[in-house]
Amino acid sequence: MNRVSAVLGYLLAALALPIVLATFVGLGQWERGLVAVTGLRVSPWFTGGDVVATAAHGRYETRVHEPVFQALIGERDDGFVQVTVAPADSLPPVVREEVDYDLDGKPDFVLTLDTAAAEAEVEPLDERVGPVRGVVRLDDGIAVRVNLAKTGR
Amino acid sequence: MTEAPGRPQVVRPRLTAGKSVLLTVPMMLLTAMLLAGGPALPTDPLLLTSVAVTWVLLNVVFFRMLSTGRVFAYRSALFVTLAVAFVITFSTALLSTRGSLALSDSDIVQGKTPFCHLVIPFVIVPGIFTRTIIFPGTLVGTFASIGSMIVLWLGATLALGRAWCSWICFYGGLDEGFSKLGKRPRIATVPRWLTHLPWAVLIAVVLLSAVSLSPVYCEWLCPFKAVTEAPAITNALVIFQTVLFVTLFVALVVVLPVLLKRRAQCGLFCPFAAFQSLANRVTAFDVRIDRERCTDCGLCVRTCPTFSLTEDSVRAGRTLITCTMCGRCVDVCPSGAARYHVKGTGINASANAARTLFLFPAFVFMSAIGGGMISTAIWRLLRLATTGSMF
Repeated sequence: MNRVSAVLGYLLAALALPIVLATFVGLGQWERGLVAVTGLRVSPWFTGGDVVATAAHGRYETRVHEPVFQALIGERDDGFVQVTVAPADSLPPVVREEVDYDLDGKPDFVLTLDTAAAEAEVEPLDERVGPVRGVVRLDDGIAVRVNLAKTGR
Repeated sequence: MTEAPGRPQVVRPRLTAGKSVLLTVPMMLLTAMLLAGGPALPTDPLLLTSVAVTWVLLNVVFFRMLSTGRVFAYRSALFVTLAVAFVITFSTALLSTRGSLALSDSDIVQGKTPFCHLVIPFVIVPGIFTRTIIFPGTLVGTFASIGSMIVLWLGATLALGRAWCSWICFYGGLDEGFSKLGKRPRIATVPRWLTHLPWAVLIAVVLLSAVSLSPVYCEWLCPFKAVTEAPAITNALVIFQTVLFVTLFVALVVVLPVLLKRRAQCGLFCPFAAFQSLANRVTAFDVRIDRERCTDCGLCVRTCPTFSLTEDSVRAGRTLITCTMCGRCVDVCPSGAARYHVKGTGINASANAARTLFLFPAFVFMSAIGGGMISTAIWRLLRLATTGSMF
């Protein structure tokens, strides 16, 4: 038994170097495989979530992201929706747009964005819509996050 | 080797010069491949010089580890160099690509934050429940992407366990560097309960991160924000966070290591360190104390940088689960009782074989992670010296 465990021990110890080499040699493939197998994504609390609707306005477009209420289990009562306008070099001085974030065919708020100052205001048309959470300049556009409640306030 | 008068003669397993050269040759080839990054050598003379210097440094260190049997002394020198090189490389890379060390909201929304291994314990629970990573990074294909860091961590965990913390972690070298300052510890003993603090921090931060779906440790507790990147100061809350980062860095990475001559951040606070201790159950290696040789002098207990030896554990012939296989006890043990060991083998099995089997993967990993950082840091410093600019 001792001899078997010693052989196994040395075998595992000898495998350590191939494991290390394989880790580095195939790093690109391993990381893509890991993400593909697990289906992992970056949390929408950081990314703003997937784009669910796009409105073209000639030289620029408005992208509405899915509302973010993600919780560890289920959903939180409060969240936000991100609206992105892009590209940055084609934006008018002021963007004013009715946004239907829940895609029910009715606008939920009117967004007014001063693109030069990166300041935004929201006029709620739905009781679930709150104030502006933040405005962030992106490499190619501006993202506005608007607070939301899961149910009416 | 001549010992200082009054000091006991240290019995240390070592290889002959011939065997050491023979075993260094494959390392020379491996490190050459790692540093060159391809079939062609760099054409920029400064870059070529820095790569050559790094290659020589790595292989001299490896050779000396084998031929002298002193693992800690040489590993530690390289480990500290790696940490300093990381700070230089990381900071200058951010300055040249982003123009600032400050992390803006824009960087966060666009996933431009480099992922770091310290976050791994905190993304697991949310990852299982929500299948999302609670970190504002990029999944694949970029510098320090989330996927690449997790793969590196998995590989290191399988091969080396918590040796990660003394051979790979590019923060640990800062802690270790400061712990080497001063001749003797100003604080000789640490209450045993304090060494359990990393586990408490780990549990607390894992729970808080899961509930808040945000990397709480990065946002509030990481001392290394002080020397890498931190949120841009835009309001009072961020000022408070920044003060906290700097305070934690000064206290845990500078002052306490100097006073204790131990790695205070790694041994008394770091939650990743506690988490990574569990990986010692997986790896084939550990450090054992040969009871037949041990004289119970207590030197290993007093000098272990991460508080991973106690009188009880020495009497049991083992280190604690938190051992980082740094080699300190192996280096200082006057009777050669502390030694690298392959699990499943007897304590009397060849110490040289176990040490060599461990050193190869550990050193390759260290070189793969640190070699590029060290050569880039040397290149930046050479540029600064010759052109007046690091960029």
